[in-house]
Amino acid sequence: MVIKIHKTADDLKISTPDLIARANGRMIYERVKKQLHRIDSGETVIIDFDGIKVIDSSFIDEFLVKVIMESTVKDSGFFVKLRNLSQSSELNIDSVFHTYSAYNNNKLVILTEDLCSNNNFFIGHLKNTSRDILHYLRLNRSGSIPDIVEFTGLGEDEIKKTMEELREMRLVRDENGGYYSGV
Amino acid sequence: MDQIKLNSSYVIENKLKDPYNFEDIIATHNERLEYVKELDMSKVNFIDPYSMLSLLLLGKKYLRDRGEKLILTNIPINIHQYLARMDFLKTGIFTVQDRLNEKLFLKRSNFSARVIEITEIPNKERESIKVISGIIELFRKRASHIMKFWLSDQVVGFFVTVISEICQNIFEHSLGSGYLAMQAYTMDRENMLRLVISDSGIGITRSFENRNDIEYKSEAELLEKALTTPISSKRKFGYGLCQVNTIVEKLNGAIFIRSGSASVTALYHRKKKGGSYMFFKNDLTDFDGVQISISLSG
Repeated sequence: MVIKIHKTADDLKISTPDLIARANGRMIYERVKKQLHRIDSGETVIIDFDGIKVIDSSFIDEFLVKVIMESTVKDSGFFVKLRNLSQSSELNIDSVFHTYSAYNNNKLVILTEDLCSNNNFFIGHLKNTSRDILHYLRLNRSGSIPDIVEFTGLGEDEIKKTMEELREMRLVRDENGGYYSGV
Repeated sequence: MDQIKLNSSYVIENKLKDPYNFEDIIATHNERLEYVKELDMSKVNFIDPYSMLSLLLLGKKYLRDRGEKLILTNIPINIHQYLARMDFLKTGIFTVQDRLNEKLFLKRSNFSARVIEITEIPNKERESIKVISGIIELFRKRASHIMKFWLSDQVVGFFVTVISEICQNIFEHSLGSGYLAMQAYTMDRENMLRLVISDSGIGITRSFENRNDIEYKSEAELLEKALTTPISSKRKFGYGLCQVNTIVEKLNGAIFIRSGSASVTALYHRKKKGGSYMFFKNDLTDFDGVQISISLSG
């Protein structure tokens, strides 16, 4: 499913290209939440920011953080990816995630379709091993625990723990037969 | 003081050039404005956006306390033209004794699109968001003039974020209303950009009264915490002011924040050079609300 934020904002008569304020974030979240009820299990939701120049921290907190929270609820069954983010929006998201993670002891990371200014296809902070595994799965589409152990040179227990963290954060898919794949 | 009582007029000093200069005006206004009906502007030869908004807040307080408007007299023509151009006189806070001849009004040409005129930020969320969106729309239209020396999509995006975050703090935390003004100008051969957002609300210290978990030894220390760490008076943590500070640092700019009887100045262009860059002042004359000035120079 692709959610075009510009169109959603237009439908709600929210002025663009800049999306600011908590109230606007709440309105868009409520609209998007209704659409999320219609998605299939395991589906990837692409949130497309084409035509949006800046999203501020209040908007990010009320919209994006809530969508991510929703996706990480056990058995929610969907994944989220962002598309067409401006550099300013990317920096604001990174800043909000950094603060949120520091105060909640709960990492916030989101995948992107486009390469970000941090040279990754995600926004947020991940340890180097996790970052490398995401790159590996992006290039190789999938991999087993032994494959990833071989790639990283780390122990099986550590990799299992890391993969479980990434799965819980909805950054990788847990396939049947002990395989993981990128989103 | 007897002379002031007698004349019922106070000649305001030529100290409306920047936040630090204006501090002298604030320091004297409390006792003097009590006795005057008129502010004589004859000595003023320059007024910057920060001083203009602070003067507006002084006038607003006078109007609130006295129920009548302070009268501005002997305004030099260039200052009068500037105040008219910035919509200062439309705010209805002051009475102007001598009206400016319409032929002398500054034209609103592309050249003078280097400003965002004084805009009131209401204290109600819905109305406020509309106004802030309007300001941002206008800023984007005029960005090529206002940001002439710093122009890039990213810097414009940074300023959209800054305007949005600070203005939202007014209805979120101040319980009052505020004003915004922005201007690019040249002073002593230096290109300056100044964004000012000021309110007459409860101020930062009072807004944090219920956060007993946040410790600070002085008002200035609380201002610094509000600026450099993601604390919030309403939530577990906040993003706004801290995000603004990060952006100003990225731009090597300067930020001045004043609230109650304290101020903090961060001069980030000095940080790069390894010098002192953070300055604190406590025990200033008490002044309602929060006043923020962000400037770029070069």
